[in-house]
Amino acid sequence: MYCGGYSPTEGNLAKRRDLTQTPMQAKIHLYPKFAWAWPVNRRILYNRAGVDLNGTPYNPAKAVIAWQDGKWVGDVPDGPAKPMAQGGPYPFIMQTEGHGQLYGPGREDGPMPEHYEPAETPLTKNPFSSQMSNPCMKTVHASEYDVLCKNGDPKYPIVLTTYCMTEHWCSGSETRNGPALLEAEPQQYVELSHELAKEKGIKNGDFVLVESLRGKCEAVAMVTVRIKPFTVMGKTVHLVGMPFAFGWTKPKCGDAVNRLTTSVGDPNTTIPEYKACLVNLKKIAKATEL
Amino acid sequence: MPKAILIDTTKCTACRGCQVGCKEWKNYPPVATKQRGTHQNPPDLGPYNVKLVRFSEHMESDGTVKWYFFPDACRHCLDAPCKSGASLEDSIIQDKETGAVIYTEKTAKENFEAIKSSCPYDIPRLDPKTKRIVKCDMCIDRVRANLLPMCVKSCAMGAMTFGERSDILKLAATRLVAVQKNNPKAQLCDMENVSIIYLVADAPGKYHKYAVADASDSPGYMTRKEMLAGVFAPLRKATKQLQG
Ligand code: SF4
Ligand code: SF4
Ligand code: SF4
Repeated sequence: MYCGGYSPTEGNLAKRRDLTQTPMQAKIHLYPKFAWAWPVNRRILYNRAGVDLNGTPYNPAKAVIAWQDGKWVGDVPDGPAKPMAQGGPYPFIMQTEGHGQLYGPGREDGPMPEHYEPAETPLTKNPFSSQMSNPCMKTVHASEYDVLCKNGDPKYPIVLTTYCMTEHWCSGSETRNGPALLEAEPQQYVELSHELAKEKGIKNGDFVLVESLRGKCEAVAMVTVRIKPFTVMGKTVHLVGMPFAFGWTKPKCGDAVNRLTTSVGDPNTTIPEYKACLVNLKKIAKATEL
Repeated sequence: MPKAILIDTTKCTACRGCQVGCKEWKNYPPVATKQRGTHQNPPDLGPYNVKLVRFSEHMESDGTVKWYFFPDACRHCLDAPCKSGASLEDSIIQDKETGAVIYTEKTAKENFEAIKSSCPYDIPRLDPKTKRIVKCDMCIDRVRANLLPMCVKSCAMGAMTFGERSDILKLAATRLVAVQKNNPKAQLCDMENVSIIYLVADAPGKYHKYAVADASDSPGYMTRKEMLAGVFAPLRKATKQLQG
């Protein structure tokens, strides 16, 4: 796949740190000798779209590529053809017609980008659109857990986001068996702002029960200045964050955050919307999962 | 030729590759830990954790957040104050070739408290099983085999550089100038006295209580202060003379 990344003379091209560039490259911050880009060190795809039929840049102040004295200068040309006036093809060489596309055939939604709120939102009105959330999103209706809060549900006013971490790989089902990694990141936690902690009477290190409409998950409170409350349409909205690297297969390290998240996917690939859902949380005296 | 390591904390992402790499190379047993509301785990250095990445976060008065990481371990002091806490000649030795300060098995016969309290960086720890006093040995086994110390080797960010002391001092000076451009408080921690030199972008105390050998708030403070005054002072004089 990364064929070309090692050169017989220069070795590992991805290790290059040379910042030299031509004045033309400097104008667009292009560093062709810094690291390497698959497959031929071209930095900008379809770059011939930036020039006219004769290979002259549409914007000379920010030229990516230009046809000069019978050759291309600037970036590596995408499709090493001559300018179109000399018989070269259209620039979007990977598309059947050679043209750029706002709306790819076969896609479920589009053509223009739109801001939708997640399937669960603390808002009652989308300030950018009359449509609250994506009308084409894929939902599952297989069990009693496949339920969504109503918009701005007062029972679950806090936004939860989930993420991975350096010490565990993905869901952690393998790395939690590595003692040194488990030592460094042993248990499920929830990161929250000092403001929310104060509101809920939670101290750093306390046990917390995080609840959504779908389930519950215990976590240790990590009260941090790295999370701050948002002000959205004049209202304070709290965000909390939890990693998705824990699960019940390793006792006492906490259960999976997916007990809280929604079963909603994007229209085209069904990539799940684990980055945002609604929860509430409270301090608990004792934990059973931790 | 004496060796040194520059630990450029401005490049550290707290991935803890060094912490885990060190413990794996040494084959130390896992330590049972709990989440306590911080990523710093285990909470402190220990007999099975001679390298520990310390985390500290600060909300600045202008509303910006500073998150500092400090991969803590023995500094391999040029004239090690901990040696003066030892009663035996060969329990704490200094390797001529590298300058590494090595705790031998004879440390089992030493007074742990005396040695611990004489270290201005709060480094020595007691192994309850072997009774030996434990700390980083600069991976002397690896260095002698022409390999990089494990922590340096495992740092994907290039935050740590191992080499000849003279080269490392030059690199440290260059990096300091670069970092000081945006961070006027940047400094090289106790550079004249130690082989493991930390570059910090802000006041050292914001990284870790014992980031520099400021004896004023150390636990065994009188002892430490005396140690520092006694042991480091002639050395400082010597450095000054050298610098002319
Ligand atoms: S840092 Fe402490 S333990 Fe290490 S050599 Fe210096 S005094 Fe000894
Ligand atoms: S030099 Fe070796 S023993 Fe010391 S902290 Fe690094 S890996 Fe650990
Ligand atoms: S391996 Fe490097 S980047 Fe990672 S924690 Fe250690 S010093 Fe920092």
